[in-house]
Amino acid sequence: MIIALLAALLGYLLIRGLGHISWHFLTSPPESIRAGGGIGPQLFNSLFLLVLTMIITVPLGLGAGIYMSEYAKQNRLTAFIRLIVEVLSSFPSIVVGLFGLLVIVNRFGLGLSLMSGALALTVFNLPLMVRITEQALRAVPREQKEAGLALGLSRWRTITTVMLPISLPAIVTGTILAAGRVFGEAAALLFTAGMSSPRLDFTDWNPLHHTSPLNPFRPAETLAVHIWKVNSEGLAPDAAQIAAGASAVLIITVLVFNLGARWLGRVLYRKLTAGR
Amino acid sequence: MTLIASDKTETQRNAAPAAGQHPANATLPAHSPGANALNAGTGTVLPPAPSATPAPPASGSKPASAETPKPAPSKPEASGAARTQAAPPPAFYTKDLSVFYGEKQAIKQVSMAFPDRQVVALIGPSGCGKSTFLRSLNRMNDLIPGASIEGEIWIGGHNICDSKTDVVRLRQKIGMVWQRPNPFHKSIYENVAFGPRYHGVKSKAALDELVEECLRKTALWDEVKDRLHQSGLALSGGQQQRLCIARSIAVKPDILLMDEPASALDPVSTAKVEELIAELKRDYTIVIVTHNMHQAARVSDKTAFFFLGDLVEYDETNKIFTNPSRKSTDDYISGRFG
Repeated sequence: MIIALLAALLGYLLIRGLGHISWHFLTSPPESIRAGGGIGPQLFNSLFLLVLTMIITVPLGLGAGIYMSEYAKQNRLTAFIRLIVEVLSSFPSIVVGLFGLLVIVNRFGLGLSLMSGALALTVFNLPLMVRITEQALRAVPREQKEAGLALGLSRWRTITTVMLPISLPAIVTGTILAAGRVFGEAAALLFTAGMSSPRLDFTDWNPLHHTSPLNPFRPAETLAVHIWKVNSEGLAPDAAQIAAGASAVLIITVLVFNLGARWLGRVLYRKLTAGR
Repeated sequence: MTLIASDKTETQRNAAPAAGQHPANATLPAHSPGANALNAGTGTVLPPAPSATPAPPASGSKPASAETPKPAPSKPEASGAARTQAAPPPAFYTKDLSVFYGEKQAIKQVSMAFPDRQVVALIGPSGCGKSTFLRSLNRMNDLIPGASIEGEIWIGGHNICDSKTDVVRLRQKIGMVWQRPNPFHKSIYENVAFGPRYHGVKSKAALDELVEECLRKTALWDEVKDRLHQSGLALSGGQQQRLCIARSIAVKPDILLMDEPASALDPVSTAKVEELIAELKRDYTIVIVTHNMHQAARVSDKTAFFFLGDLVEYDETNKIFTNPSRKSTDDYISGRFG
């Protein structure tokens, strides 16, 4: 039943959108009045924002997860922290967006930029990452950990060399889920990463230049935000098709990303565990 | 200095448990060249080693097996029906060791000594605390939330219950084997080479040699030499268990703790593991927890019977199984309870 529903939903989006997808659509910049606009910059922005967010989230989340599962004492304080973490991850994203606008964009003066967006996304991605890591490490059989310790390995080395390789597939899978959320997030980005995309010069790869796509401090409209904008205030005559096409692209990208990362997890696992 | 303390407490220990002490250890390989190696070995390893001059490392597997200035072997003083012959100093001993899980006392003031290079079996019904006791000996029980420990465990002149003990280095000197084989999710070669590499053996040749040596000692070499780089998990249960033993001896411990090492194995594998224990006894002091009475009788030199956290009786294996001095021991080994 659920699968049928899911398939119907996916099928509907894909059938409506696939017809509109072309190389031109994927690479050219959007048009505001005329028909025939593309989603090139938005697609790039989404991917770049994903990377940025993950660069912030993964190390922090891994570290905090390791701490929570292996080092932190089990007491009321850590139980409270866990509760907070859970609340944080289920925050309404529009609230996080407003928080980002007030604190990150205005107070810290980062302006509407990719970096602001990435930081806002970190707010609910980080808890997810912490929990994923924590649970993956807890799922490692106790004997494995003890075996490492019994060989005279320090706690840290036991975690990094014995436990993390075992829990890696779970961590990678969880990271993808977190990443999927980044990709699809719109509300939190409206006020942080902005709804406009400055003219990008895809030949300029210096991250410090204002028109460079790699500059993390420029405003950037992501794909999900673009879908929302086109649907709500789009003036182009083909706005509906653009939204449908963009939705299909979004879904396909998430699917590809999922499968790819799962595969990566398996490969890594084999590499780390079976010797070679 | 190391052993002065040990002598003193050993007499106390002799007085502590059951009355029926035996003329101990007379027939044992007491003065084999490495008889005192443990003290030297751990002396070099545990941080503030006051005495026990580190012996120059001899070749071969033992870290130090030359003669060291040896304090007089523990004198059999007038302690009950105590020993009449000089015995070698114990590899290590516990004194009034108690272990608590929260409020519950799992081990009640157990004092026992483990003779160097002998096998001591710990038997008793489930829940009697023998595994807890074993896991206390390398402070592995610290990992269990709520577990706490009182009393003393003396190894090589150090009370390892001391909070200053470097647990990580201590554990290198005390190998451990679990009930369920738990090879790392790594290749067979890596499983063995992992520990030594961490402890500083870097050269490939030395590692290769060490891996072969350990796998030969555990009679695994011929079975796996052609597939060293396959996953250790691909082996059979018995092979995995021997791999785990190989892994633990690769870091050159002095003591091996085994928690029901054969209870998850079939009879043939069990026999192999038991043979292996008899072999390893030459180099290591072994403590083995077992539910299998026959196994205890077959592999051990001394046997300790635990019941409800108490050490009921601790004596030569022969005596325990033929003529135990406590009724509950007799009941247990003849299968009337437990």
